[in-house]
Amino acid sequence: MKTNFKKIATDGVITQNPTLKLVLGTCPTLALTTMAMNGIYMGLAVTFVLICSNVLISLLRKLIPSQVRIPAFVLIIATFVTLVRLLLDKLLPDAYEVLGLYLPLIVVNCIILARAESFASKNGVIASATDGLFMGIGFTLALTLMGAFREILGAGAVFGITLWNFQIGFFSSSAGSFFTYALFIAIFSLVSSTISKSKRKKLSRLNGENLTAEV
Amino acid sequence: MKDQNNKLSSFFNSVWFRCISVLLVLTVVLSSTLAIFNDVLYVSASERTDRALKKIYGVIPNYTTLLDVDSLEDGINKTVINYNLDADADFEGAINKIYVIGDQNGEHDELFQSVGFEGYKGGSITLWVRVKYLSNGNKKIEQVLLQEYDKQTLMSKLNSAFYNRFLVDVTNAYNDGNLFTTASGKGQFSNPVSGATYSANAGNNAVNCVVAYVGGVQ
Repeated sequence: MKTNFKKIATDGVITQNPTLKLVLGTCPTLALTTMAMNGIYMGLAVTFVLICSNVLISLLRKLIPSQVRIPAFVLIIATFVTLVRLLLDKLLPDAYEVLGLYLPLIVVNCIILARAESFASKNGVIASATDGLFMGIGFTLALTLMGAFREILGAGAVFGITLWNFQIGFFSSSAGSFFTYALFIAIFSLVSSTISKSKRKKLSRLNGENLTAEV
Repeated sequence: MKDQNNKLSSFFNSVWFRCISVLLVLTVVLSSTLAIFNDVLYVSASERTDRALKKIYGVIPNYTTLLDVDSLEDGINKTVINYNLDADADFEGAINKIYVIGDQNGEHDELFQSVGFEGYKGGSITLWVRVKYLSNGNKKIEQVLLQEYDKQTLMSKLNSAFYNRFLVDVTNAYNDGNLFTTASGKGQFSNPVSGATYSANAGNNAVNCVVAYVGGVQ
């Protein structure tokens, strides 16, 4: 079967965006989006784990008995999360400090286990790696945009660069994170439903034209 | 004999044997890989010290080591200074590292890595405390930086305001009985944090160790 890479890419970033469409991995999304940079750090860590675990699970998918697939997947994911922790502590100590408790919690991030179960265990290595990459990009984009929004309104800055002295403290608080998340989900749903409606209209118009031509 | 061979063959072909062997092999291979990476990516105590120095001073300055419990070099004091046995002191903590930056006879900095105990769930907080020794003999806390913590769950409540309240002159603080405390109104240096009293207590204890050291309890 031929792999549709374009579909995998659009699924990961738009149609099945893990954060805004599937509402997975909400714990780091709510806790770490106080700054845009935190979103990038978390997104990159998750992307690395997604790609590596997807590749390994895809490689071993015929060897792992289905009865023990979940513990095996968790074992593989936990290994890559530990590796990310070691890498960040050594190479990017600031990111390691910022992510703190949420870094080891990647092990139980639903996005990674869901992709392992629903995609990597049924598809080839290259397709699984691509899926991991684009799911990671979708997650990173959502977290970075939400982080930038909250940082601009809550701290008057973006990526640590001060823009103005105006700040709304609410957006830096926990309540602000829930509000921002809900707002982003609403906007995303609105935009994606508008696009799909216009696509459907275009398709039905084309079908109508074809029917007229046939008649 | 044939029956025994069949039994053996069915044992090795059984699902549970496959399940256990796959999990075992995975565990062994993955943990061995992690063990290798753990050694390759190990961050030594001196590397962590250099990172803290860089954070505080922007660059790694020239320094003299007065005390370093993690030091591997000979001739360096490695004895931790404990402050939990002092009956008069109302705090529990220890100093693990002391570095002198600048000329010890003139104006200079002393950088302390101190641990404050009695935090939430009996945990601790480790801080870097930079004390400036002025030419007129006064000693002032210039900067307090968090290094690490253990068992504390509300560290985000210890914001910059908490750390900034430590930045005071501590020349005679210990002898005058002025220590940092979470009780409002008790002592001169009241530093409470609403909702994270135990963690604040551990933070105060860490700085109190330095105040005691500067006050002559060494």
